[in-house]
Amino acid sequence: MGILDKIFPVDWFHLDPEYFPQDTRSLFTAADVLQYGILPLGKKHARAGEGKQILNVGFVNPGNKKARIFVQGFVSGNKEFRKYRAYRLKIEEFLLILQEIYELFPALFLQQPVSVCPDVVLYLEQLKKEKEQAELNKML
Amino acid sequence: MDFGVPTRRVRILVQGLVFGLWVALILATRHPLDSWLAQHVPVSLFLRIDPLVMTVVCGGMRMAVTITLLAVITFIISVLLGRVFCGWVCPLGTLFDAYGWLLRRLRVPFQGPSPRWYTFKYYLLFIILIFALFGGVSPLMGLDPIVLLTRLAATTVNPFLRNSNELFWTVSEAPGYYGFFFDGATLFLFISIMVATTKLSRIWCRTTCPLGAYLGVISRHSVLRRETSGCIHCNICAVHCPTGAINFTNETVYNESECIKCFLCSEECPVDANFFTYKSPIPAFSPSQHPVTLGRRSIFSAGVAAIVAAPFLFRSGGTTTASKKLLRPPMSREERDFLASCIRCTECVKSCPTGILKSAGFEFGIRALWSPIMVPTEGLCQEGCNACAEVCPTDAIMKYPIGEKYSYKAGTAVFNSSKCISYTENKYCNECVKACPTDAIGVISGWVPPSGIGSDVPAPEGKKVTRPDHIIYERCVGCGACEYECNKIVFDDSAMVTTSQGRAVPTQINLAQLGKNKEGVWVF
Repeated sequence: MGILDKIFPVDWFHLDPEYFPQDTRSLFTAADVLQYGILPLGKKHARAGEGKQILNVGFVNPGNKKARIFVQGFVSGNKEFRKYRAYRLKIEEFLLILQEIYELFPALFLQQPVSVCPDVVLYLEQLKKEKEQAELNKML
Repeated sequence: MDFGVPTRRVRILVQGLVFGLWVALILATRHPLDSWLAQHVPVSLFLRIDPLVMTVVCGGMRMAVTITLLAVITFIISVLLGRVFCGWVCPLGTLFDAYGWLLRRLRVPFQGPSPRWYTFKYYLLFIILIFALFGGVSPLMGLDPIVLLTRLAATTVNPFLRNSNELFWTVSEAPGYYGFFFDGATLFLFISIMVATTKLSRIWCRTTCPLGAYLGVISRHSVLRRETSGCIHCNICAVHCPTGAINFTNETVYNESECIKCFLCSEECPVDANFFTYKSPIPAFSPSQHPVTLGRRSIFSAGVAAIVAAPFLFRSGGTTTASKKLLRPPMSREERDFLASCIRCTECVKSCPTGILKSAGFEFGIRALWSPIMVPTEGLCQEGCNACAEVCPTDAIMKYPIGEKYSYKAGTAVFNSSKCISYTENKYCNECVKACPTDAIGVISGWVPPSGIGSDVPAPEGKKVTRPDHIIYERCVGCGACEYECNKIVFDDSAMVTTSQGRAVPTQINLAQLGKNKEGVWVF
């Protein structure tokens, strides 16, 4: 890392379905999005006058190596991009985008034989448990 | 016009070069001013391009002090482009950014929105300007970032750099001396600022910096404006904005007065939606700009506080007539004008080769706080040196030809024979007479030891030693050499005391002697 290079930790990327970047929306298939917990978040010119761009990728878990390898492979194989920049996503907002933009609903994809990002599964299970506990508390 | 990608590295480079220049100039501020840099660049350059210094000094003096007018350039740039000075030039800002780089490396979270009291700096500025209106430099001027850093370098770092000529004066001086305490206060203030910066980036610039507030006010109508078409509301720019200028709930809204034009928002924007463009300054506030709103009640309170405090402080301020012990450097302006033009930067203290110049504490009143005073017990005003006048960024100490130094009295010594060992113990000393560069001490001839040097042995019975008798007023220049030497013999109870009696002030001097327009002012 050069002394003038960026050293910011992974930033949180606030997602809003109304402003979700449209130009890169279909870069990843719905299956990839679901499997790796990633979202394409637009692109940016790397340097003034340079043709290649930086792809922004949101990760539910930026430490997910499989997801990172997938994105790295995708960027390497795509001449349009020089590299990618990672952002951290809140799972609630990620799920909201899945529903609003990709029309993927948790109730449906959990029942189907598709590979889902383990962090998302864990979150949904936790959510389910909390709901059940809340209902139980109500009944008591 | 998109400044997007390369600006960050360019800014870091510029900041580094400018900071390097500041450090080099600080190091060059020493007698003799014979380094290449000191001969080609004014050593107080950064203070001279500070528009707040210009405004306060010109306001306080009620005239355009020419030496400060270089700051007009900064003023115009700020009016047109915004607070570029804060983001690209200010050495304290550069220190904050370098510190931020370190914090990021350590993964310390220190970014976020400004506290609600960020407008505090505007009230501080308001008070400083009211003081200037009353004809004085408020001690609050010490919070100006350039002044603060210069004073830090001069009074806390510099003494440690001067050990080669045995001048550990700030460290070794008597603890009761106020100046020593306030040197520590400057250091304490600086450390506190850096600790606070650990919590929030550039918190000083956001909340307290009076120069930042001043530039913020004059740059409200700048033509270089932020444009956010295509914003996807990801909040990245708001998080990265070092001064909290961007609204956290709606990133398209920002505060032009708080924006330091670091272009970090452009750099960090993931989709090239943040860029700066030249726009007409009219209308001043589009819906995308969020102006600073100051509470009317708070402005009123600050104004009343300043108006009440200013005359009170001015009355408590020491003057030459009030205190004969108040010794200003040679060719300092008349006391009222001196206090109206001295910005407490202590460049003079930094440049003084003997350590006679100190930063005043409360001993001459709050108004004189941090202003330079001569303390002859600590050093003497050296022959052939006019460094303090040469480095003064506001001409509070007026410049004069080095050969004419003794044409202008800094004061007059007073001799108290009841404390002189030649009288009390009949011992030969004569150190004051030897030290006097102008032969201003009248002597009564008497016994001299065979060695010809001072001795602990009293004169033989019936004989009286050669001794000082009186001060020749016309010859004495108030350099403090006699007091300095005497104080070495009779520590802290000197028979020679330098007073401000007869101090020559520029208004009394035939300015034609100094050259054309040497006063450096246009009176209006």
